[in-house]
Amino acid sequence: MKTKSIGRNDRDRTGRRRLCLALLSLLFWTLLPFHAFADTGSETVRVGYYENEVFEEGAEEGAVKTGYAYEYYRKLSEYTGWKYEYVYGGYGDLYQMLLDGEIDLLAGLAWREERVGLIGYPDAVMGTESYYLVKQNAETDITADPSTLSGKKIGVLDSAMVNVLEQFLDEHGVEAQVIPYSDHEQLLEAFDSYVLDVFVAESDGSYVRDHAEVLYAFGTSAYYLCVSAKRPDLLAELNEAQMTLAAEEPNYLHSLSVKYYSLSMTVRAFSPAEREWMDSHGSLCVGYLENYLPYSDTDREGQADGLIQDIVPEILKALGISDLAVSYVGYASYDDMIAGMRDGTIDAAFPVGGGLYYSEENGIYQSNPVASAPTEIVFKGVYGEDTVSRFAVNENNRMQYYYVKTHYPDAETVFYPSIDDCLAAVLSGEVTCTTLNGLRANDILKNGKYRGLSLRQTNRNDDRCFGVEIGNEGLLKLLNRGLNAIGGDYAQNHSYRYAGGLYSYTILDVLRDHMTVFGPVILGIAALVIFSLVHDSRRTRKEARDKENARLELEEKNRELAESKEALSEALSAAEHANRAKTVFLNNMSHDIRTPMNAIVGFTALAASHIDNRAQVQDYLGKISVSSQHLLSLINDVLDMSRIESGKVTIEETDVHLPDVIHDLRAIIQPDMTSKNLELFIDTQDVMHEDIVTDRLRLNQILLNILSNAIKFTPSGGTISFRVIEKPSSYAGRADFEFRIKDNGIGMSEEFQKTIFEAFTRERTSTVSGTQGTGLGMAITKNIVDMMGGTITVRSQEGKGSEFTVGLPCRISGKSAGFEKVPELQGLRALVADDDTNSCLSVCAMLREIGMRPDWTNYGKEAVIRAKEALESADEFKVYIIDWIMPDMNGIETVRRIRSVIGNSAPIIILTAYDWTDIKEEAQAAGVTAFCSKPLFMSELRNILSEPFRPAEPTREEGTPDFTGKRILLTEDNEMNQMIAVEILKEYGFEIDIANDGEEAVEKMTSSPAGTYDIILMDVQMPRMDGYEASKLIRGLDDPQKAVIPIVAVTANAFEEDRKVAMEAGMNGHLAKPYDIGEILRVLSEILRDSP
Amino acid sequence: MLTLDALREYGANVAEGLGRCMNNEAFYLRMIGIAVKDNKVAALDAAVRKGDFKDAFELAHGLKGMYANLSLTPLSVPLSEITELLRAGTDTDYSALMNEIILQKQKLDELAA
Repeated sequence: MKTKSIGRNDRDRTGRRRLCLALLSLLFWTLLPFHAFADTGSETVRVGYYENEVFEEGAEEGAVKTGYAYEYYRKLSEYTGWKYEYVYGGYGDLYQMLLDGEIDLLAGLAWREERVGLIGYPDAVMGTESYYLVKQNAETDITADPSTLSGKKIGVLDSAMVNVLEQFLDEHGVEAQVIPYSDHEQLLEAFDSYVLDVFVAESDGSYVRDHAEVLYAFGTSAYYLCVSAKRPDLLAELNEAQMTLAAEEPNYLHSLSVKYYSLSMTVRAFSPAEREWMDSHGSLCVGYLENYLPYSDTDREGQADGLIQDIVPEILKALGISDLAVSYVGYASYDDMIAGMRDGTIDAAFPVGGGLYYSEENGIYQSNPVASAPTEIVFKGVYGEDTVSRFAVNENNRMQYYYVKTHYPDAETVFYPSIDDCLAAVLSGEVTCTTLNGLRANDILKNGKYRGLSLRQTNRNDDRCFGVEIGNEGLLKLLNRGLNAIGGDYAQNHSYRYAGGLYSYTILDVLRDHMTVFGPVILGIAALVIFSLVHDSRRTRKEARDKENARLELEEKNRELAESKEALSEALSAAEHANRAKTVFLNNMSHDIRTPMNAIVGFTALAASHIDNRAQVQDYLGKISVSSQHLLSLINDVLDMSRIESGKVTIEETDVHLPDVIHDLRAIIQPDMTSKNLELFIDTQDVMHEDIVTDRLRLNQILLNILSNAIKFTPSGGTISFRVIEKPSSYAGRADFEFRIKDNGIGMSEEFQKTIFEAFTRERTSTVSGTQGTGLGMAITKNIVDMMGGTITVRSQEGKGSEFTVGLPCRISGKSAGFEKVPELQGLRALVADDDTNSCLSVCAMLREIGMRPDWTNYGKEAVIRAKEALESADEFKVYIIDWIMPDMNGIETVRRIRSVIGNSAPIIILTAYDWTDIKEEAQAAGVTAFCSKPLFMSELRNILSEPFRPAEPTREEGTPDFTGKRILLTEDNEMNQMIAVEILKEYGFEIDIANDGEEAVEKMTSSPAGTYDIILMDVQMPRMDGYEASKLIRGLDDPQKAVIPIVAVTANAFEEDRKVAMEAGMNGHLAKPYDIGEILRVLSEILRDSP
Repeated sequence: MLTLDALREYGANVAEGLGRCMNNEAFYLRMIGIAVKDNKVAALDAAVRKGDFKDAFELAHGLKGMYANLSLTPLSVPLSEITELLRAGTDTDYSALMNEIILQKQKLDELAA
């Protein structure tokens, strides 16, 4: 058997080395130094391993193994779990051992009828080899016609190739002289010395000769990985593994052979057709499709970009061609590119694809694939049968249309001018899907705007190839030869370089998503481009049909084109302007976002390294928390702005009690004012209507934005004054309010004042001013003021300060009570002492309105004197209203002295903008009757004075609120959370009823009589029905009394978003989980106070 | 034995949790007792393994709320993280997070044993 195994008839895998080794082994080896395999486990498989260049290398103990067969063994192991024990030896001996069952596997065996039964052949091959005829270059009488081989001397290695060659010659009735050689060297020597006219080469041969020219492949031979006949179990496993491998990695064998055998001797041995093409062409002009990265595009300089500009030089390099001038022509449309090839403008086109049939229709040959990537279906939502019913197809990329027509013949197709439009159509639901080439899909979908889209890989690859005109065989073969030489994974390996061109910077994307202001501009540009493209292509066709018509039309189109160009440049400059603002904004934003982010990252690291030091960690956590809050507010600002710009913000007007708004604002800014050591003057002027109809949330936002800016830009020790003024309106039932916020801070330049209300602008970069912000605050404010029908102006002087004035026309609420005079106060005297004259005048005006006779002074000392004078003239003051802080004498001291003059006869009210808790006792001891918070509103003044001469409690009570008798419906699905909430609520006097989810809450509300509950605490995330849904249903209940029950949302997130969604679902308040008792009480008391 | 000290050592923010329970130590410990008996962590693990993200999200969300209310930080932190991933339906390897949650739950169980 051994002898036979290397004989002519029985030689399997051919090759010089294999043969030599087999011979050697025949001569020298009788027994082989292989591992003992007595203890082979079921998983260990004995592999016969023989040295064979490229195919199987490293055939000795400890040598590094490489090669086609070795890699194939490793791959199989992935599927079978086999471990290998390598048995080394010559091919012949190993074959014998396979027959004897001493080894289990041997690679590289050809199919032989007589072997079947002796060894096990698996169903699938492990590789295929082609045999080529190679002739002397100078032998011009040998052509592709086999009959020209008659009488020629053909050298062939004494192996299975001889059989194949003889069979080929027989079939063609050729009588040639076949000379077998026992090894490669002799064979090639004979060819080089021109003894042979022709010789037979294998596809994996690696010799290059200048005088050689490849004729054609005349035969192939498949080879197998064979299994010992004694191991049918292994054969079954092998069959299964090969089947799975073929299913999962269908291109595996191909890529393996490219990897090991691409640079064979056949590479540079050009065929006559190829030579002819090269002789007749000094240049190669390649057309490519634009806007098709990573394959091809035109860059800004107008040069070819993408794989095309890598691959063409690479191919020429691999083929050793250096004297060919290469040029590129970009085409916006596939059809135009094909037309360009037909009319001879270009020699080859790239990429072409969509299947062979359509290539034939177009009159082109497709080269071997440059890239063979699966086509991806892009869709929105859930993939179903209907997903592939209606395709968006890019009319400029005909390959896509061909693909869809071939594989989805029943689907409807809708044309769009670009792939972006196709994707947008999928997003908008105009079509159910579109397709993307596998090398493009992932990167294109990275674009933020395509977030809503999903990919599904099809199991059909769509090859992207070079295309040449049918008949241009020489160029086709050159390209194919080159593609084989550079390897099938070249495109795949280089495409990543161009991925960046497929998607743009993410933050920009996010912004673009939201900033619909840019939308129309971009759409406008796109429309114009499409417009001109469409006209362009139409023009081309018409020209072809009718020259004269075309000429006339051309003129017309040129005119239109000029118009669109003009419009285009206008749109472009608008877009550029917007883009510049955005860039500046991004620069600033990046800095501003990085600053708190750096703090968070830094302090987190510090905290981690001091984890054992509680106090220090606590300190770091505090800092982290501050920075996070800041970051969150930046992000909220950006989102707010985009929401406004996309028109998603609406003004919701409700009845608003103005004093509440102003006092709340004061409470919010007070801590910042105090910590920055700023003084706040806050008062009202001529406010006759306190109940107005407006959007409380937005009004708050406007004033708070301006106030926080004032705080931000006023250095320590400065002053901020906030005045609310009512001006008579020319319309009945309306009032014009003016809110003036003035500071003596750093002010701003004249120039900046002009742009302060534009988005993304700031006076200085934050780096310089040290002040952080988005530059959006004032733009947001301006937008909201506009929406509310108001005006906003600013006056400022650098270094002196700024004054913002917001004018807001409002309807007067029907609730608004008229301020009729209070009978018991008629004609009584009152004294106002405040160092701010405007305050005095304002309070006096109110007192006069009530019917009193007011007097005022700016000084405490003067107040004491006036009190004395009045007493002496028997026209004493019946009410004193004293400012707490006055320069000459503070309010408390003033009160004490007045009391010493007048005794306890008249109420003395302290007016203050500060929290008076700390001085309450001292003040009461000094004789203060009551406190009133600034700014003073008429209703508050009346309330205080209407309880005359009775030592009243302070207007605001501190301490634990009491909700005794209030019934709360707690809607919460988690038992533990229920228990904790019950415990907390019980403590403050609530009666509690529990609903386990939204549905139950709605049920309880429906079935119990109106008024059963005073308020609902509603968890948001619940099974069956969530809190939003339940709130909407409750708001829709028929009984109007039930429908308006206050509902407070409870969510696990403290995002502004959640708060907004809760408000939109008709909820009145929002609490964050886990519970914060103080916050619960604050929200509940606020809502229960406001509700009837 | 479940004590405040043991809970502190475990990593719970006892001051905050206690505060939420009106500084009623017995009530706080009773609540923790209930949290220990709750075996939804196992259910969450099962749902995650099955890849049933909707169920898993609801379970994780509930657990997160429960532990956060008791300020059992070692549990609420990983649960918070997994909740957000599940909310987004992220198909990822959850095993590290789940292991952490299971480990911390075991530790808590041992405290109460």
